[in-house]
Amino acid sequence: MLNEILSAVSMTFSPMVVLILFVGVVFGAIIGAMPGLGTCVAIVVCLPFTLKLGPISAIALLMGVYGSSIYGGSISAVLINTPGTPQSAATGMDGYPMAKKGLSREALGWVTVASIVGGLLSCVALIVGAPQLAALSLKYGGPLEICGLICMGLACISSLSEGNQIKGILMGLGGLLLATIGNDPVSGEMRFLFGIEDLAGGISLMPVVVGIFPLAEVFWRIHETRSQEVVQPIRCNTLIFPRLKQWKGRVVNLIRSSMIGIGLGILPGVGATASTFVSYTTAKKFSKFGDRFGKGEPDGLIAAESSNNAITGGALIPTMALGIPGEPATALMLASMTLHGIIPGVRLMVDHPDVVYSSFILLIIANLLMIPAAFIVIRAFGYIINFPTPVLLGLIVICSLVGVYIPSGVFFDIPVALVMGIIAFAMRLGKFPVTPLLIGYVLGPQLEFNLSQAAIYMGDMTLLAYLGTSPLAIVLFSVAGLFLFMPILKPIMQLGKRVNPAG
Amino acid sequence: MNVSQFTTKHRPAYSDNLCFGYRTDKKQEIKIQNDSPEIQYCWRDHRHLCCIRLYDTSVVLNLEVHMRKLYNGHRLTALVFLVIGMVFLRASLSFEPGFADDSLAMGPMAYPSWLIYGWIFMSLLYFITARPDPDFIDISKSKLALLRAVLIIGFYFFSFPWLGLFASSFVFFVIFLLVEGYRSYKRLIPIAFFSAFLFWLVFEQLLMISMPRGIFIFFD
Repeated sequence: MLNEILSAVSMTFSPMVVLILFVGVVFGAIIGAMPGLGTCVAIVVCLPFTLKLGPISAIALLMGVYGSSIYGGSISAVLINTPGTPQSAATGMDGYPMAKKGLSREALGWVTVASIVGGLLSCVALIVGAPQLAALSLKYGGPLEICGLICMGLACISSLSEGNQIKGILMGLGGLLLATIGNDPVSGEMRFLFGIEDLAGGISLMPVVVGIFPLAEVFWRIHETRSQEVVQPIRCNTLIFPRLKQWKGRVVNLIRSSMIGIGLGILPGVGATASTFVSYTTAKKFSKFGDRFGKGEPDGLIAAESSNNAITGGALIPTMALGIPGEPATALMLASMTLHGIIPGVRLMVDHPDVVYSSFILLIIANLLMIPAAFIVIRAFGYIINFPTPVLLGLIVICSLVGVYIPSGVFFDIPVALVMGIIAFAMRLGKFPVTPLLIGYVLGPQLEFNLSQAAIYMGDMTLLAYLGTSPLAIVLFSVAGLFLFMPILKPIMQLGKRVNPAG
Repeated sequence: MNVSQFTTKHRPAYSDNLCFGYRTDKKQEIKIQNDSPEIQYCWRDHRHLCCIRLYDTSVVLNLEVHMRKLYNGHRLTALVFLVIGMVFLRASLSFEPGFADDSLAMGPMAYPSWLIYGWIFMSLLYFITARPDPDFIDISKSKLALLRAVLIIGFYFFSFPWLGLFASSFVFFVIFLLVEGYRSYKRLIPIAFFSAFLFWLVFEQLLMISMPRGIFIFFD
């Protein structure tokens, strides 16, 4: 492991790679600071710029954006009380009151340090956890177990969808169904072409991703803000790091919140927003300053920030080790790496550990580079937040078009992206979660391939007998079933109550 | 009575009388717009959208009441999903395998069929459990803007192969900024030109990515 890490260090520490990483960190923080755009839009927008870069440089740019965009969201949460990303919602609860008291520089200092520590701790978990998980997968991971794992992930993501779980399950199924268009991964037969020959190769990933995130966001912004109001952020040109003595009694909170972030990050579907609020409420409960939460208490900032940045490493563990993403940002990271010929999963961990460890090291450096990036972004925040919306949207549209066209060079992908954008916008209007759609689409081919393999291995055995050969698969399928059937049964039971209130 | 005096305490009196049996105990206020001198109060219950508009509040309260029944958009969505499911089901049932190896344990349509049945089942469930959403997102005000945006982006995507990256991006940017209300005309053309030029420079010159030249191929 040490040799691989050293090899990765030598690949990573070139001036060009570090410069690209820094650009990624600054870009991610800027996009993150713009309310509503978020990590996924940031990754998709910078994706076309990576396509002609080498794999390590491309990963550097992506890791920079991925690692810093959540942090960027916290700057706007503190200075204008509007979180740039949903993950930063809890940050504003204490950050903005602090800023209003004239402590904006101190608040941003706490935010920066907590973000970096949370991110770094999650990197440690990633370096330790991902190879172990991959080794476990190699030992126990037959096609049946992989199917169980994918089903469990999809069931979690779909059923944990906010509001109506049926919508989440429908979207997950929609993603899986979308992935079946084109050729069958096992036999190569063409399916669901509906007379359109261009669908023979299936719907490419980029039009789906571009449609779901940036284009849908463009439509959403046009719907939401017909006139742009000039926002006056609280004046702040720099940040002040907390002194060592100020950390007294707060370190436990920092570590606990980071651990919560890492733990919940590994689980599919939980997401950074939920993890942030879990950390925040836990900290409120255990902190000796709990009564000051919501009034500008640094412990609240530490809890929220360390947790939401710790998600980055945690969520990458199953993505890098198994090739199974648990949230849209990691699904996009997986898709972006695949475009560069790097396919995350067990084989990558075994065959190219240097690339894997380079990614981990890049994420560590990205976290450290947040310090200089923070000074730049905070100083420029007044301009960033009031950047004219039409210009921003126009730039996003051009990046989207280029991002769709470059990977394949196929014109058919361009209208597909537009159609996907309109569909994703309509889904958003109907309050359908799009995360299960993307994850289902990304994992669909893997699921079908492993199901086919499992069916071949099963041979003449009955399904139950075959399932009996793998207790792990039984557990995974049971958990998936539990997550799936609970939300289905819930509305039916409610319906029964409504029809017969006396009963 | 000024804007601040007209609070939610005053509203039930009007709503009870004017909103056709609207029950105040179930009301849910969702939006208060103070576009002076008109003040509009809107709220929704499970089936209706009620709006009271007050004109010239400083002198006399002139009320105008709007009420419309909320249609159940979820049912319509569920029906669309069902139709999609049926189309896929029909395609899977009429599928004739070509060169697929018969020894494969799963045929090419086995896995999609499970998904389709799951999709149809869930769509039915969604249809059965659908209720009108009191907090539905209203796009009536923005639908024209959205339609314009779709058309402009569609035009841009369509013109890209014909005009190439630079020209199509420039034209798109100019139209898009104008339509989206960017009123700084002195800056409009330079911004559009600079943005298009920057993309051309980065992708075609620095990253050496081959882009369509369209009609400009004749000028080479």
